[in-house]
Amino acid sequence: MPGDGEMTEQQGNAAQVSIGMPRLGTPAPQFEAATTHGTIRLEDFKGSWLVLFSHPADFTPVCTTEFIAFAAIQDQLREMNCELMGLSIDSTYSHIAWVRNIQEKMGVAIDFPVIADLNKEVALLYGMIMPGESKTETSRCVFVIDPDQVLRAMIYYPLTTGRNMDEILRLIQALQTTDEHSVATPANWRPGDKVILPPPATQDAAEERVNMPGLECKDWYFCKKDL
Amino acid sequence: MPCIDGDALTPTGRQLLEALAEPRTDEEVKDIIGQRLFRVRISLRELMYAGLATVERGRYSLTDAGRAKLEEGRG
Repeated sequence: MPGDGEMTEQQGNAAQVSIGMPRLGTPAPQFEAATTHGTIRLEDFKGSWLVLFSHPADFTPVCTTEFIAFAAIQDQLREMNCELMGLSIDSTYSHIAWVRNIQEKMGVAIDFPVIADLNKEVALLYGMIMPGESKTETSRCVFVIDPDQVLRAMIYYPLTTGRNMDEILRLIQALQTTDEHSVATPANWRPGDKVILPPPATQDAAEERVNMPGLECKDWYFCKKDL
Repeated sequence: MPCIDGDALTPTGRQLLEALAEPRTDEEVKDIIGQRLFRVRISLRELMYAGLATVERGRYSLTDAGRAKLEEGRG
């Protein structure tokens, strides 16, 4: 049994691999990495949104379904000024071979860059490794980074469970709506649904809010409107 | 999107060098060659590392070596 101040082996392993954990609303950690499209810096994406996502390993089945699903939403993301970039702890050669395999066997072209993070530099910077699942593979992480390179949302999924593209699209649509209209979005929001006004912070503002035309208010702090 | 393959220019590399016939921003280059902006930035960086382009106040232009490289292919 470990004494006071001593770590168990599991705790020690967790401490070794979990170096970084980015925070929402702060600048996304910068990096330069080898990818299937050459050496890329995060700053190369300044001016557009970016979905940076990790997968556990090339040539594995769930990851393949996810790559196909990401490819399927890429055009829609581009129309939203949003780029895609994948990552796993595999070599560029493995990535290239896998992408070519997906094209040949599944008939799907993978057009987004994939980071070959063999030294785990980006994975550790972004807290992509969950030692409880694997010390050598990234879990299924998604980082939504805005045009100013601020980290706006994170999704973490386990190795076993493929991600949902509808939710990733919905998330970016919601964030872009928030930025454009200074509103919040309620649970299960979809484009076209009513949005939420941020709650008033003073008594006077609360009184104004409940008397404001064009709003649907249950109470002073809970008001929705159409865009 | 490699621009240089050994000593030779790829078609993309040539397209980029031609776009830099006069000083341009990365956004202007993107509009000329029709590539995603991040890809343009990667390629411009590659050209700079190869000594074929330079940047000043956000505008990219050809170096003497870049102009020579462009002429090479035309010869």
